[in-house]
Amino acid sequence: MTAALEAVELSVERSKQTVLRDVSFSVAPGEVYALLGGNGAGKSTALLTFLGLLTPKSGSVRVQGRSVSDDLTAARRVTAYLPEAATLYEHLSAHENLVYFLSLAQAAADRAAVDRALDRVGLQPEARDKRLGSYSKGMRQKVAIALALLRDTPILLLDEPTSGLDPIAIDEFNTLVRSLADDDRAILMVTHDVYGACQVADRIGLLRKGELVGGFDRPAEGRIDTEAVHAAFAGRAVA
Amino acid sequence: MSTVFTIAAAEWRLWMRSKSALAALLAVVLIIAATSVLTAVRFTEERHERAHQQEVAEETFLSQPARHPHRMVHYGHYVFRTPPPLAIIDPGVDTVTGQSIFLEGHRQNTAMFADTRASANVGGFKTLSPASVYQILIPLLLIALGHAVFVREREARTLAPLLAQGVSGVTLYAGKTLALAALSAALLTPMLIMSLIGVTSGEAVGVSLAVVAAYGAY
Repeated sequence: MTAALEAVELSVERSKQTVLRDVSFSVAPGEVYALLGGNGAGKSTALLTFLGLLTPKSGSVRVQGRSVSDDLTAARRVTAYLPEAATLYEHLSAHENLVYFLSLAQAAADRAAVDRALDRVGLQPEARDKRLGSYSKGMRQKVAIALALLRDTPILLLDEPTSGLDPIAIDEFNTLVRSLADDDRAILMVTHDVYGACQVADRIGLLRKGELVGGFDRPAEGRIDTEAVHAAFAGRAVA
Repeated sequence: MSTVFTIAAAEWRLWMRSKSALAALLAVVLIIAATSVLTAVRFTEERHERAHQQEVAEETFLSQPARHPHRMVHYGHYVFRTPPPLAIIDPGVDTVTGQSIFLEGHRQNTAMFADTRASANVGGFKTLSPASVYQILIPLLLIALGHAVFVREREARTLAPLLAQGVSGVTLYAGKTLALAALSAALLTPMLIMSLIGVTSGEAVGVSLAVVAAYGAY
Protein backbone atom coordinates (compact mmCIF):
# COMPACT_ATOMS: atom_id res chain seq x y z
CA MET A 1 0.00 0.00 0.00
CA THR A 2 1.28 3.49 -0.87
CA ALA A 3 2.17 5.54 2.17
CA ALA A 4 0.07 8.68 2.55
CA LEU A 5 3.11 10.62 3.73
CA GLU A 6 6.71 9.70 3.24
CA ALA A 7 9.99 11.41 4.02
CA VAL A 8 13.01 9.81 2.36
CA GLU A 9 16.44 10.75 3.70
CA LEU A 10 15.14 14.25 4.16
CA SER A 11 17.56 17.06 4.95
CA VAL A 12 16.39 20.65 5.25
CA GLU A 13 18.32 23.86 5.84
CA ARG A 14 16.89 27.04 7.32
CA SER A 15 18.97 30.20 7.50
CA LYS A 16 22.00 28.17 6.33
CA GLN A 17 21.68 25.77 9.26
CA THR A 18 20.78 22.13 8.86
CA VAL A 19 17.51 21.65 10.73
CA LEU A 20 16.69 18.13 9.53
CA ARG A 21 19.34 15.56 8.63
CA ASP A 22 18.61 12.32 6.72
CA VAL A 23 15.20 11.82 8.28
CA SER A 24 13.08 8.99 6.89
CA PHE A 25 9.63 7.91 7.98
CA SER A 26 6.24 7.19 6.50
CA VAL A 27 2.63 7.43 7.60
CA ALA A 28 0.05 5.01 6.25
CA PRO A 29 -3.68 5.75 5.88
CA GLY A 30 -5.43 5.10 9.17
CA GLU A 31 -2.28 5.72 11.15
CA VAL A 32 -1.30 8.41 13.64
CA TYR A 33 2.41 9.15 13.57
CA ALA A 34 3.80 11.51 16.18
CA LEU A 35 7.10 13.28 15.70
CA LEU A 36 8.23 13.99 19.21
CA GLY A 37 11.01 16.35 20.07
CA GLY A 38 12.07 19.35 22.07
CA ASN A 39 12.19 22.96 20.95
CA GLY A 40 14.27 23.38 17.81
CA ALA A 41 14.34 19.64 17.05
CA GLY A 42 12.98 20.25 13.55
CA LYS A 43 9.42 19.03 14.06
CA SER A 44 7.62 21.97 12.49
CA THR A 45 10.20 22.09 9.72
CA ALA A 46 9.16 18.58 8.73
CA LEU A 47 5.51 19.64 8.49
CA LEU A 48 6.32 22.75 6.49
CA THR A 49 8.34 20.64 4.07
CA PHE A 50 5.34 18.36 3.50
CA LEU A 51 3.32 21.49 2.74
CA GLY A 52 5.93 22.63 0.23
CA LEU A 53 6.65 25.77 2.23
CA LEU A 54 10.26 24.66 2.65
CA THR A 55 12.41 22.94 0.05
CA PRO A 56 14.53 19.91 0.96
CA LYS A 57 18.27 20.33 0.67
CA SER A 58 18.43 16.64 -0.17
CA GLY A 59 16.07 13.71 -0.05
CA SER A 60 12.37 14.07 -0.77
CA VAL A 61 8.91 14.28 0.72
CA ARG A 62 6.01 12.46 -0.88
CA VAL A 63 2.27 12.84 -0.45
CA GLN A 64 0.23 9.88 -1.65
CA GLY A 65 3.24 8.62 -3.53
CA ARG A 66 3.92 11.83 -5.46
CA SER A 67 6.79 14.13 -4.75
CA VAL A 68 5.53 17.39 -3.21
CA SER A 69 7.87 19.41 -5.41
CA ASP A 70 6.38 17.79 -8.53
CA ASP A 71 2.76 18.65 -7.75
CA LEU A 72 2.53 21.09 -4.91
CA THR A 73 -1.09 22.09 -5.44
CA ALA A 74 -2.27 18.46 -5.49
CA ALA A 75 -0.36 17.78 -2.27
CA ARG A 76 -1.99 20.75 -0.52
CA ARG A 77 -5.46 19.83 -1.75
CA VAL A 78 -5.35 16.48 0.05
CA THR A 79 -3.74 17.85 3.19
CA ALA A 80 -5.29 19.75 6.07
CA TYR A 81 -2.84 21.68 8.19
CA LEU A 82 -3.36 22.73 11.77
CA PRO A 83 -0.71 25.37 12.49
CA GLU A 84 0.91 25.93 15.82
CA ALA A 85 -0.82 28.66 17.85
CA ALA A 86 -3.85 28.50 15.53
CA THR A 87 -2.98 31.45 13.35
CA LEU A 88 -6.30 32.66 12.00
CA TYR A 89 -7.72 36.12 11.27
CA GLU A 90 -8.52 38.12 14.38
CA HIS A 91 -10.86 40.52 12.59
CA LEU A 92 -13.11 37.65 11.53
CA SER A 93 -15.48 35.51 13.59
CA ALA A 94 -15.09 31.74 13.85
CA HIS A 95 -17.73 31.27 11.15
CA GLU A 96 -16.14 33.83 8.85
CA ASN A 97 -12.67 32.34 9.30
CA LEU A 98 -13.91 28.86 8.48
CA VAL A 99 -15.95 29.94 5.47
CA TYR A 100 -13.03 31.96 4.12
CA PHE A 101 -10.41 29.24 4.48
CA LEU A 102 -12.78 26.61 3.12
CA SER A 103 -13.59 28.73 0.08
CA LEU A 104 -9.85 29.06 -0.58
CA ALA A 105 -9.56 25.29 -0.35
CA GLN A 106 -12.60 25.05 -2.67
CA ALA A 107 -14.30 22.90 -0.05
CA ALA A 108 -17.85 24.18 0.16
CA ALA A 109 -19.44 24.11 3.60
CA ASP A 110 -22.75 25.58 4.64
CA ARG A 111 -23.54 27.13 8.00
CA ALA A 112 -24.95 23.84 9.34
CA ALA A 113 -21.76 21.95 8.46
CA VAL A 114 -19.65 24.65 10.08
CA ASP A 115 -21.80 24.51 13.20
CA ARG A 116 -21.51 20.73 13.34
CA ALA A 117 -17.72 20.98 13.18
CA LEU A 118 -17.70 23.65 15.89
CA ASP A 119 -20.00 21.47 17.99
CA ARG A 120 -17.59 18.60 17.55
CA VAL A 121 -14.65 20.65 18.85
CA GLY A 122 -16.77 22.11 21.65
CA LEU A 123 -16.76 25.81 20.80
CA GLN A 124 -19.60 27.56 22.62
CA PRO A 125 -22.39 28.69 20.22
CA GLU A 126 -22.49 32.20 21.68
CA ALA A 127 -18.82 32.74 20.79
CA ARG A 128 -19.07 31.73 17.15
CA ASP A 129 -20.07 35.11 15.75
CA LYS A 130 -17.58 37.05 17.83
CA ARG A 131 -14.28 38.10 16.33
CA LEU A 132 -11.30 35.90 17.11
CA GLY A 133 -9.54 38.89 18.64
CA SER A 134 -11.62 38.27 21.76
CA TYR A 135 -10.91 34.50 21.87
CA SER A 136 -8.64 32.68 24.25
CA LYS A 137 -5.80 30.57 22.84
CA GLY A 138 -7.75 27.38 23.42
CA MET A 139 -10.82 28.72 21.64
CA ARG A 140 -8.74 29.67 18.63
CA GLN A 141 -7.21 26.23 18.63
CA LYS A 142 -10.70 24.73 18.51
CA VAL A 143 -11.57 26.84 15.47
CA ALA A 144 -8.38 25.70 13.75
CA ILE A 145 -9.22 22.09 14.54
CA ALA A 146 -12.72 22.60 13.14
CA LEU A 147 -11.14 23.89 9.95
CA ALA A 148 -9.01 20.76 9.68
CA LEU A 149 -12.15 18.65 10.19
CA LEU A 150 -14.17 20.55 7.61
CA ARG A 151 -11.44 20.19 4.99
CA ASP A 152 -12.25 16.47 5.18
CA THR A 153 -8.92 15.51 3.64
CA PRO A 154 -7.27 12.07 3.78
CA ILE A 155 -4.17 13.58 5.41
CA LEU A 156 -3.87 15.76 8.49
CA LEU A 157 -0.76 17.64 9.56
CA LEU A 158 -1.00 18.82 13.15
CA ASP A 159 1.55 21.20 14.63
CA GLU A 160 1.43 21.16 18.44
CA PRO A 161 -2.33 20.56 18.24
CA THR A 162 -3.07 20.49 21.96
CA SER A 163 -1.09 23.61 22.77
CA GLY A 164 -3.31 25.95 24.77
CA LEU A 165 -6.07 23.43 25.41
CA ASP A 166 -7.23 22.53 28.90
CA PRO A 167 -6.91 18.89 30.06
CA ILE A 168 -10.51 18.01 29.23
CA ALA A 169 -10.22 19.53 25.78
CA ILE A 170 -6.93 17.65 25.26
CA ASP A 171 -8.63 14.35 26.06
CA GLU A 172 -11.50 15.22 23.69
CA PHE A 173 -9.01 16.19 21.02
CA ASN A 174 -7.07 12.96 21.36
CA THR A 175 -10.31 10.99 21.05
CA LEU A 176 -11.15 13.01 17.97
CA VAL A 177 -7.76 12.31 16.40
CA ARG A 178 -8.19 8.58 17.01
CA SER A 179 -11.64 8.61 15.42
CA LEU A 180 -10.28 10.47 12.41
CA ALA A 181 -7.53 7.89 12.02
CA ASP A 182 -10.11 5.14 12.30
CA ASP A 183 -11.79 6.78 9.29
CA ASP A 184 -8.65 5.85 7.37
CA ARG A 185 -6.99 9.26 7.55
CA ALA A 186 -3.23 9.53 7.81
CA ILE A 187 -2.26 11.86 10.63
CA LEU A 188 1.18 13.32 11.22
CA MET A 189 1.38 15.31 14.42
CA VAL A 190 4.40 17.03 15.84
CA THR A 191 4.45 17.65 19.54
CA HIS A 192 6.59 17.83 22.63
CA ASP A 193 3.75 16.40 24.71
CA VAL A 194 5.00 12.90 25.57
CA TYR A 195 1.78 11.85 27.30
CA GLY A 196 -0.46 13.07 24.50
CA ALA A 197 1.68 11.40 21.84
CA CYS A 198 1.63 8.06 23.68
CA GLN A 199 -2.11 8.32 24.18
CA VAL A 200 -3.00 8.83 20.57
CA ALA A 201 -0.15 7.72 18.29
CA ASP A 202 0.32 4.38 16.56
CA ARG A 203 3.97 5.16 16.12
CA ILE A 204 6.29 7.75 17.57
CA GLY A 205 9.47 9.06 16.02
CA LEU A 206 11.86 10.79 18.39
CA LEU A 207 13.56 13.76 16.83
CA ARG A 208 16.63 15.33 18.37
CA LYS A 209 18.68 18.11 16.79
CA GLY A 210 17.25 17.30 13.40
CA GLU A 211 17.90 13.58 13.51
CA LEU A 212 15.50 10.72 14.07
CA VAL A 213 17.07 9.03 17.06
CA GLY A 214 14.41 6.56 18.09
CA GLY A 215 11.06 5.03 17.31
CA PHE A 216 8.22 3.43 19.24
CA ASP A 217 5.36 1.30 17.94
CA ARG A 218 2.04 0.81 19.61
CA PRO A 219 1.65 -2.70 20.93
CA ALA A 220 -1.22 -4.87 19.76
CA GLU A 221 -3.02 -4.09 22.99
CA GLY A 222 -2.78 -0.83 24.92
CA ARG A 223 -0.67 2.23 24.28
CA ILE A 224 2.95 3.11 23.77
CA ASP A 225 4.78 3.08 27.08
CA THR A 226 4.91 6.66 28.27
CA GLU A 227 7.77 6.01 30.65
CA ALA A 228 9.97 4.52 27.95
CA VAL A 229 9.29 7.39 25.59
CA HIS A 230 9.83 9.94 28.33
CA ALA A 231 13.13 8.36 29.22
CA ALA A 232 14.25 8.37 25.60
CA PHE A 233 13.04 11.95 25.21
CA ALA A 234 15.08 12.99 28.22
CA GLY A 235 18.09 10.95 27.05
CA ARG A 236 17.94 8.43 29.88
CA ALA A 237 18.07 4.67 29.68
CA VAL A 238 14.89 2.86 30.65
CA ALA A 239 15.10 0.45 33.49
CA MET B 1 -10.60 32.83 -10.76
CA SER B 2 -13.19 32.71 -7.98
CA THR B 3 -10.35 32.24 -5.47
CA VAL B 4 -8.79 35.49 -6.68
CA PHE B 5 -12.09 37.30 -6.04
CA THR B 6 -12.43 35.63 -2.65
CA ILE B 7 -8.99 36.85 -1.61
CA ALA B 8 -9.72 40.35 -2.93
CA ALA B 9 -13.05 40.46 -1.07
CA ALA B 10 -11.33 39.33 2.13
CA GLU B 11 -8.82 42.14 1.78
CA TRP B 12 -11.63 44.67 1.41
CA ARG B 13 -13.37 43.23 4.44
CA LEU B 14 -10.18 43.67 6.45
CA TRP B 15 -9.86 47.30 5.36
CA MET B 16 -13.46 47.97 6.28
CA ARG B 17 -12.90 46.47 9.74
CA SER B 18 -9.48 47.96 10.37
CA LYS B 19 -9.79 51.27 12.18
CA SER B 20 -6.54 52.64 10.80
CA ALA B 21 -7.26 51.63 7.19
CA LEU B 22 -10.82 52.89 7.41
CA ALA B 23 -9.70 56.18 8.96
CA ALA B 24 -7.12 56.67 6.19
CA LEU B 25 -9.69 55.86 3.51
CA LEU B 26 -12.29 58.16 5.03
CA ALA B 27 -9.74 60.95 5.36
CA VAL B 28 -8.80 60.64 1.69
CA VAL B 29 -12.44 60.52 0.60
CA LEU B 30 -13.21 63.61 2.70
CA ILE B 31 -10.21 65.43 1.28
CA ILE B 32 -11.28 64.52 -2.27
CA ALA B 33 -14.81 65.75 -1.55
CA ALA B 34 -13.61 68.96 0.07
CA THR B 35 -11.06 69.79 -2.61
CA SER B 36 -13.57 68.97 -5.35
CA VAL B 37 -16.19 71.31 -3.95
CA LEU B 38 -13.72 74.08 -3.15
CA THR B 39 -11.96 73.81 -6.50
CA ALA B 40 -15.28 73.80 -8.34
CA VAL B 41 -16.40 76.91 -6.46
CA ARG B 42 -13.08 78.64 -7.07
CA PHE B 43 -13.13 77.59 -10.72
CA THR B 44 -16.60 79.06 -11.20
CA GLU B 45 -15.66 82.33 -9.51
CA GLU B 46 -12.43 82.67 -11.45
CA ARG B 47 -14.13 81.86 -14.70
CA HIS B 48 -16.68 84.60 -14.13
CA GLU B 49 -14.08 87.01 -12.86
CA ARG B 50 -11.75 86.51 -15.81
CA ALA B 51 -14.62 86.66 -18.29
CA HIS B 52 -15.69 89.91 -16.69
CA GLN B 53 -12.15 91.30 -16.78
CA GLN B 54 -11.89 90.30 -20.41
CA GLU B 55 -15.10 92.16 -21.19
CA VAL B 56 -13.79 95.27 -19.43
CA ALA B 57 -10.49 95.02 -21.31
CA GLU B 58 -12.35 94.67 -24.59
CA GLU B 59 -14.51 97.68 -23.82
CA THR B 60 -11.51 99.76 -22.80
CA PHE B 61 -9.68 98.81 -25.96
CA LEU B 62 -12.63 99.46 -28.22
CA SER B 63 -13.62 102.71 -26.54
CA GLN B 64 -10.42 104.43 -27.66
CA PRO B 65 -10.71 107.33 -30.03
CA ALA B 66 -9.79 106.69 -33.65
CA ARG B 67 -6.02 106.24 -33.88
CA HIS B 68 -3.41 105.04 -36.25
CA PRO B 69 -3.25 101.21 -36.13
CA HIS B 70 0.42 101.35 -35.08
CA ARG B 71 -0.47 103.48 -32.07
CA MET B 72 -3.29 101.06 -31.28
CA VAL B 73 -0.79 98.27 -31.20
CA HIS B 74 1.42 100.28 -28.85
CA TYR B 75 -1.57 100.99 -26.64
CA GLY B 76 -1.83 97.25 -26.03
CA HIS B 77 -4.54 94.93 -24.90
CA TYR B 78 -5.09 92.59 -21.92
CA VAL B 79 -5.98 88.98 -22.54
CA PHE B 80 -7.25 86.75 -19.73
CA ARG B 81 -7.03 83.02 -19.80
CA THR B 82 -10.44 81.55 -19.07
CA PRO B 83 -10.01 78.31 -17.12
CA PRO B 84 -11.00 75.23 -19.14
CA PRO B 85 -13.84 73.01 -17.81
CA LEU B 86 -11.46 70.37 -16.47
CA ALA B 87 -9.80 72.98 -14.27
CA ILE B 88 -12.24 71.78 -11.61
CA ILE B 89 -9.96 68.72 -11.41
CA ASP B 90 -6.61 70.26 -12.16
CA PRO B 91 -6.24 74.04 -12.25
CA GLY B 92 -3.13 73.52 -14.34
CA VAL B 93 -0.17 75.87 -14.30
CA ASP B 94 -2.11 79.13 -14.03
CA THR B 95 -1.12 79.53 -10.40
CA VAL B 96 2.54 79.47 -11.42
CA THR B 97 2.58 81.07 -14.86
CA GLY B 98 -0.17 83.63 -14.37
CA GLN B 99 -3.64 84.15 -15.71
CA SER B 100 -3.38 87.14 -18.03
CA ILE B 101 -0.95 88.69 -20.45
CA PHE B 102 -0.54 92.19 -21.80
CA LEU B 103 -0.21 92.16 -25.57
CA GLU B 104 1.58 95.16 -27.11
CA GLY B 105 3.64 95.88 -30.14
CA HIS B 106 7.43 95.27 -30.24
CA ARG B 107 7.47 93.65 -26.79
CA GLN B 108 7.05 90.08 -25.59
CA ASN B 109 5.54 90.22 -22.11
CA THR B 110 5.29 87.38 -19.67
CA ALA B 111 2.01 86.30 -18.10
CA MET B 112 0.95 88.18 -14.97
CA PHE B 113 -0.85 87.66 -11.69
CA ALA B 114 0.49 84.24 -10.80
CA ASP B 115 -0.87 83.21 -7.40
CA THR B 116 2.50 81.87 -6.34
CA ARG B 117 4.10 85.30 -6.72
CA ALA B 118 1.61 86.77 -4.30
CA SER B 119 2.19 84.20 -1.56
CA ALA B 120 4.89 82.24 0.19
CA ASN B 121 7.19 80.22 -2.02
CA VAL B 122 5.33 76.91 -1.96
CA GLY B 123 5.26 76.27 -5.70
CA GLY B 124 2.18 74.48 -6.93
CA PHE B 125 1.09 73.44 -3.46
CA LYS B 126 -0.48 76.73 -2.48
CA THR B 127 -3.93 75.30 -2.92
CA LEU B 128 -4.86 71.65 -2.67
CA SER B 129 -6.78 70.50 -5.72
CA PRO B 130 -8.34 67.12 -6.59
CA ALA B 131 -5.39 66.61 -8.94
CA SER B 132 -2.83 67.01 -6.17
CA VAL B 133 -4.81 64.57 -4.00
CA TYR B 134 -4.74 62.05 -6.86
CA GLN B 135 -1.09 62.68 -7.59
CA ILE B 136 0.23 62.64 -4.03
CA LEU B 137 -2.12 61.46 -1.30
CA ILE B 138 -3.84 58.53 -3.00
CA PRO B 139 -0.60 56.91 -4.24
CA LEU B 140 0.72 57.19 -0.67
CA LEU B 141 -2.42 55.53 0.67
CA LEU B 142 -2.19 52.73 -1.90
CA ILE B 143 1.50 52.19 -1.12
CA ALA B 144 0.74 52.00 2.61
CA LEU B 145 -2.13 49.55 2.12
CA GLY B 146 -0.30 47.60 -0.58
CA HIS B 147 2.82 47.18 1.50
CA ALA B 148 0.77 45.68 4.31
CA VAL B 149 -1.10 43.06 2.30
CA PHE B 150 1.74 40.53 2.40
CA VAL B 151 3.73 41.80 5.37
CA ARG B 152 0.63 41.51 7.55
CA GLU B 153 0.04 37.89 6.52
CA ARG B 154 3.65 37.04 7.31
CA GLU B 155 3.69 38.86 10.66
CA ALA B 156 0.35 37.38 11.75
CA ARG B 157 1.63 33.97 10.61
CA THR B 158 -1.44 33.44 8.46
CA LEU B 159 0.59 33.02 5.27
CA ALA B 160 1.35 29.32 5.86
CA PRO B 161 -2.29 28.37 6.60
CA LEU B 162 -3.36 30.32 3.51
CA LEU B 163 -0.92 28.51 1.24
CA ALA B 164 -1.76 25.22 2.95
CA GLN B 165 -5.32 25.51 1.60
CA GLY B 166 -3.92 24.91 -1.87
CA VAL B 167 -3.76 28.57 -2.86
CA SER B 168 -0.74 29.25 -5.05
CA GLY B 169 1.48 32.25 -4.47
CA VAL B 170 0.46 33.64 -7.86
CA THR B 171 -3.26 33.40 -6.99
CA LEU B 172 -2.65 35.08 -3.65
CA TYR B 173 -0.71 37.86 -5.36
CA ALA B 174 -3.45 38.24 -7.99
CA GLY B 175 -6.14 38.49 -5.29
CA LYS B 176 -4.29 41.12 -3.31
CA THR B 177 -3.52 43.06 -6.50
CA LEU B 178 -7.17 42.92 -7.56
CA ALA B 179 -8.19 44.32 -4.16
CA LEU B 180 -5.82 47.25 -4.57
CA ALA B 181 -6.86 47.78 -8.20
CA ALA B 182 -10.53 47.80 -7.20
CA LEU B 183 -9.77 50.31 -4.47
CA SER B 184 -7.93 52.50 -6.99
CA ALA B 185 -10.89 52.27 -9.35
CA ALA B 186 -13.32 53.16 -6.54
CA LEU B 187 -11.19 56.16 -5.61
CA LEU B 188 -11.34 57.31 -9.24
CA THR B 189 -15.14 57.62 -9.07
CA PRO B 190 -15.11 61.23 -7.81
CA MET B 191 -12.75 62.14 -10.64
CA LEU B 192 -15.07 60.48 -13.15
CA ILE B 193 -17.98 62.49 -11.78
CA MET B 194 -15.96 65.72 -12.01
CA SER B 195 -14.90 64.92 -15.56
CA LEU B 196 -18.57 64.41 -16.49
CA ILE B 197 -19.32 67.81 -14.96
CA GLY B 198 -16.49 69.08 -17.17
CA VAL B 199 -18.26 67.56 -20.18
CA THR B 200 -21.47 69.39 -19.30
CA SER B 201 -19.43 72.60 -19.13
CA GLY B 202 -18.19 72.12 -22.67
CA GLU B 203 -15.18 69.81 -22.47
CA ALA B 204 -14.88 67.06 -25.11
CA VAL B 205 -15.91 63.60 -23.87
CA GLY B 206 -12.73 62.03 -25.23
CA VAL B 207 -10.53 64.53 -23.42
CA SER B 208 -12.39 64.03 -20.14
CA LEU B 209 -12.17 60.26 -20.34
CA ALA B 210 -8.51 60.46 -21.33
CA VAL B 211 -7.77 62.46 -18.18
CA VAL B 212 -9.51 59.84 -16.02
CA ALA B 213 -7.74 57.02 -17.85
CA ALA B 214 -4.39 58.74 -17.42
CA TYR B 215 -4.92 59.08 -13.67
CA GLY B 216 -6.08 55.46 -13.55
CA ALA B 217 -2.91 54.34 -15.29
CA TYR B 218 -0.85 56.52 -12.96
